[in-house]
Amino acid sequence: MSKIELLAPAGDMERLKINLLYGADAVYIGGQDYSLRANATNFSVSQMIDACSFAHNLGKKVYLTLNIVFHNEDIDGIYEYIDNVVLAGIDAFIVSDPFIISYIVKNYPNVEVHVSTQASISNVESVLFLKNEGVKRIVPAREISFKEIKEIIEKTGVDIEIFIHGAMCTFFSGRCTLSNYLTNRDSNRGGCSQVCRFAFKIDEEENENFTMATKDLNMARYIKEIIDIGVKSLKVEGRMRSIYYLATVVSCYRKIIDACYDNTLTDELLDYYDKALGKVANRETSTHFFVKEADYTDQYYTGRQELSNQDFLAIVFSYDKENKIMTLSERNYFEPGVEAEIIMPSGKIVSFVVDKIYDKDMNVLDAARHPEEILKIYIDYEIEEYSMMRIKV
Amino acid sequence: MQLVLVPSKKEDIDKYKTINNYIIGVKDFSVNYNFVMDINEIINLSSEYSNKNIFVVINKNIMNDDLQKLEQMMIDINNSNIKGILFYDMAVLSIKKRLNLKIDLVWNQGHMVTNYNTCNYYYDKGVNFAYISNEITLEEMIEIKKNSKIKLFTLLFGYPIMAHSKRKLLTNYSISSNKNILKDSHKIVDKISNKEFIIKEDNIGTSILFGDISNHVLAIDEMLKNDFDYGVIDSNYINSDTILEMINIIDRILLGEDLSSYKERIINLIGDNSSFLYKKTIYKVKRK
Repeated sequence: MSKIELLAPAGDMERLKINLLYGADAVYIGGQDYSLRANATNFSVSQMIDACSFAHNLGKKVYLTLNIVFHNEDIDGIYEYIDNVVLAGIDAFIVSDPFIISYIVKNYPNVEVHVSTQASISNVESVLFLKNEGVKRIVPAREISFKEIKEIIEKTGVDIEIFIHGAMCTFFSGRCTLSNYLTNRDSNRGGCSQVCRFAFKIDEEENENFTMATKDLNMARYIKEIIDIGVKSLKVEGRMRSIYYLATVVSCYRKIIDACYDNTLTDELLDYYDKALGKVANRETSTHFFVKEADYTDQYYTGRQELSNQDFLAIVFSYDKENKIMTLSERNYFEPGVEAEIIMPSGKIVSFVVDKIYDKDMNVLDAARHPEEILKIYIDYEIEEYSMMRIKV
Repeated sequence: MQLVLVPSKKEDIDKYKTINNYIIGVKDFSVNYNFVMDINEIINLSSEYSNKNIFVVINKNIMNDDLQKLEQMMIDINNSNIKGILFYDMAVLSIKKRLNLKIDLVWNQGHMVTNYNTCNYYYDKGVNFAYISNEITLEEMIEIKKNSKIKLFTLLFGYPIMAHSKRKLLTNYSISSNKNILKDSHKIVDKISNKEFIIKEDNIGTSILFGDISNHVLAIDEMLKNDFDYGVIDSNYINSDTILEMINIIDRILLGEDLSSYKERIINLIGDNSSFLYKKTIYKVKRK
């Protein structure tokens, strides 16, 4: 039985590499047009060639989001664009508009079509309809439950991909235009300004804070159940998230998935990964509709602050085996004596106490104070390129 | 252009005598509609008013547990005088094809009815009507009309729906704030822009409407020139005298009278918010 896929978001080439090196089986990316994260850096067609080459050399895949709700003006050039990105080596398209499905299925039968959660597919009948249209995989509405997902898989045989981690919408995907009306930014074409996170007066009461904001999603404790019902892919949200966030989230889910298949998953391990995931989040999390109808416990009301996270200390560029010195680029302030750990793309984690910190010319520093400053630190353990140093979990 | 009314109560069918087309929400299967009826009541109504075209709305996100009831309901609708179904979920189209039902379908995915290619996709699947998005420009609407054979429903005036959630947002707020607020409609106001919205909750979820009436009537000349098929009047939250007077005015314009002579009165009655008719939304924030 093949392992469930871990699918991660890549807003640019650096994020793509981090995701794949840290254990994602596939990444989803956006082009510079037609994707629902219009303000991420995204990929040009020539960058997609490099992205696909990098992923395919690792035996991994790249999916391209093409999931805007098209307006007339977006149609011009779309077919040529699809032709070009197929040549770039894209493994699948994630789409929502059905006319795009028809074109890809007809012209590129070997390239998979995945239907985006933007289409809010939520039942067996719709899945069968899309299967008949040639769709290989569906990312259903995030409003459906474990039981409903299981029933869809059993009755349709279509590959199902579900979101397991990250920000959630308050409203059904595709059914929200708050952003259009309040900020003139088109939510269904990637311009969402997250009006659902604003505070409102209700019934003319000046001091009332009516909010609709949701907590983030975290399914870490349900991965075994999700594997058991036959879900094909686990998706992490966040094409605009930092590399540290992505490395941590991907690495934790990689470990949890592998432990599920090895029968080594314990409550202690889950507690550890849950804590690690919590350290990179700036919001509380819940399971939303997965195990019960979402209610007030899945939302935020008053008094919430989004705290910036300063646990990410540095990224490792290289390791000098002979002198046992790693070269890093600083991200947040730290000083000698800090209890740190290094997470590596291979999944290894090394804990240590920082002794001396040197600058690039090996002058001793009293602290690492400047983001992106090149630093050197002695450590008697071979550290992999792209490893990340953080405060010990 | 034919007028279509979204009534706010059953009696509206007798009250607005010149209207021949109605859109009515189905209890437990329609979202964003204030006035809904049990499907059997609507079927009876369609027999009682056999000279009128009654369309029903099935626009909730269909869940597995809804499918059996939906299928039976569609069979019943197919055997009734109901003219057609405004549908959101593809399950409706799938059931129609699978059971070879003759009932007309109106593609009614709200904010997603935004281009002629997708209209043509649905037309090729046997869907003869589409209710066009309220968030596109008049120019885009005209382009869709010119490039698709599908017949178009377009909002003429009414409070536009902005968003729908499965979450019970008023109930949740009520619990969290220890305030026993009613789930009926409330006004919420953005604290920065002071823009107002209407929020309401029912057993299916929560809907939010924009707080100003969208007035597309002032663009009716262009719509008529381009053979728009159906103009929708959504009467929810608007008083019946206003609706009656607006219907009279639009009837006269449809008979050839000059819009300009009614313009001031129209604005007095429903305001001049043209919504997105002449305002394109942006979706890429320019980088510095």
